[in-house]
Amino acid sequence: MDFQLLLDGLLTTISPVNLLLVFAGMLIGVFFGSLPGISSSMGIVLMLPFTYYMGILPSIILLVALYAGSSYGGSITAILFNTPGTPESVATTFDGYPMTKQGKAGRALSLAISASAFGGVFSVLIMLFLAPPLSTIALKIQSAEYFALTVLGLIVIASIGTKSPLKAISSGLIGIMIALIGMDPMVGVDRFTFGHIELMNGLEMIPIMIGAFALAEVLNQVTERHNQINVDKKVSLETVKLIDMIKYKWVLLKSAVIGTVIGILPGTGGSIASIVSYGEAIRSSKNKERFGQGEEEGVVAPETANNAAAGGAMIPTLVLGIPGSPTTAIILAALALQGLQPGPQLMSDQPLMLYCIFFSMLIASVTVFIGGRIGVKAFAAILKLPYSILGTLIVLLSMVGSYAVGNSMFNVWIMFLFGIIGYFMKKYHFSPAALILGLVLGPMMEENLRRQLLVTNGDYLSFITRPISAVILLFAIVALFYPVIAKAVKNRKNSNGDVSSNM
Amino acid sequence: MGEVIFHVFLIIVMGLFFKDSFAITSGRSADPIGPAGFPQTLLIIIIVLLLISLFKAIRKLKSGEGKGEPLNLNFAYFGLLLGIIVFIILNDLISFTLATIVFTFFLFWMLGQKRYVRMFVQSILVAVVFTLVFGKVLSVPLPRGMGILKELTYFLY
Repeated sequence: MDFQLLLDGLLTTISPVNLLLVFAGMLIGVFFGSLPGISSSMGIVLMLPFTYYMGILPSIILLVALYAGSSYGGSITAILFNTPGTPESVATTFDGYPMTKQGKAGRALSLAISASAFGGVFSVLIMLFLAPPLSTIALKIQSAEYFALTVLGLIVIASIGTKSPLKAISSGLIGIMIALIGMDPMVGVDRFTFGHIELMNGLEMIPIMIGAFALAEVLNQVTERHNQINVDKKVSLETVKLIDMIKYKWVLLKSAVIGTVIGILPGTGGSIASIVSYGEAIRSSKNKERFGQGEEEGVVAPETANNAAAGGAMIPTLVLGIPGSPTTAIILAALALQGLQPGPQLMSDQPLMLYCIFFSMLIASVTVFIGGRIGVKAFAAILKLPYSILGTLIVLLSMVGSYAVGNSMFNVWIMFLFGIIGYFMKKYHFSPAALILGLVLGPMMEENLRRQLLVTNGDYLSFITRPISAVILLFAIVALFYPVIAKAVKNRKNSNGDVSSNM
Repeated sequence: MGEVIFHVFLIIVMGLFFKDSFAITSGRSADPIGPAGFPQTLLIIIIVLLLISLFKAIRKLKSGEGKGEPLNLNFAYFGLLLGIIVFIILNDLISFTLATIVFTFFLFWMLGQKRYVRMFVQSILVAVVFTLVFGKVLSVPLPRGMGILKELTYFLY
């Protein structure tokens, strides 16, 4: 590592104007991230015109700080309203919202902040020290491995759908089916459009997500007449002490590693990272039954991972010119707008840039941690509003958020439809979360399956002859049969216990 | 019973998708499974899983366990859905801002507020804030309505 460049990077980033840009970017990111339908990528696109005249380093500093801030912002509405602000924070709703229902909104937000900060700092450190070697490993990940990863992600669905794995897997597969609507990615023929031109580009994920989570939740509230569910007495503004986080050290570390590694894989990103780390948190927990009921680890794991993925995704973006996530693809476009040529030569052309990005993401993560802790009380105080106001705001945000995705009322109709479907899914113990995961994984799963078969002339065995792919698939099989094995072992223990007690 | 109906609904929808999958034109001959292969396999698995789940739901219903908690689809539920439909239609007629005032007022009333003057003021406030944040700050091209209302919106966003 070039320490002179490191020092120069630090001095450049903490210059008053750049430091101000880091704070501004972080705040704008938290704001955009918390608005459903305004994702980090949309936030960056909206900020692009402001960066035209800024110069390379200030503009990239602003954008990466925004990126870091939005990773946390998405969790605010996920925890408070069961409305994930970004796809990355879907997994945060699983336990974050139950915590809010139990009056632990302040604690859930604090956990999210601390976990986000840890994930963010961890991944930028990895970015700084391991960027070049990690990127060479990522180059070895090809279609077979991507397919295996999606299979693993899909099997994780079974652990999310706590009440009925069968319904959870069905929900996930239906999600994949919905993702297949539109033009086929390989040969360009239209599929399942039923003659509607609006369906040619497929269905946007955000309106489906907003409908299945936010509108479905409002419908649930109005039918259950829980109009006063979030009354003052139930809102505990307890904050998390640093020492509390030590309790979750292994979850933090594992999730940060999962997030960074998945973030590095081009084309993936925080949404997959958060789901995988959530699944891993369930798998390794002694209290599996508490997940989905407001388990704190269920907030820590996805929040650490999605923030770590933000840093991880910057690695292939900067070193190889291959975006690690949709948002980094836009950052890459922003670099091109500044006249830079993305690709392996970028680091030699702009040696200072890596260090400036490192420090701006680091400062943004630390600022989220400090500023977020102070702001927790303000965020949780939103819950003190009566449900007539809160419900109205959620419905309005859902509608505007869905409309803003493609500036189309068609998306609002989609949100409406999936609101109703999501309501019934929830009522009958299907899994809206698995549906969303299916939507995220679907296109990647199909594309990589078909690409691998195309490359190998239809050799299905190629998925298990490649070592990395084989290991991932092995994990998937273990995850699939784990509940059955665990149940068998438990039954055996119980029967042994009965036998010994009879003796 | 609702659970059984929901299962049947999903199976019918997936069945329609399966029927439509035969209309997908085949791709390149080199593509081993083609554009229809993956969705068809997936649909078969989904339908089989849903049938198993339906069978379980029917068995649960017959044993008396399946009654569960009632759905309670009350006035607020249908009112909210109807309100959203009207709001979507109004957007293209009277602009986003005015449609939001009407919709917000309706939702406040439906969700239990009774102080009409306060509701009216809050509705205007919410509509203006949403219009300015999304229409002005975030440059989202919000619907402008028709005629004179359309012209007036240009003063706001």
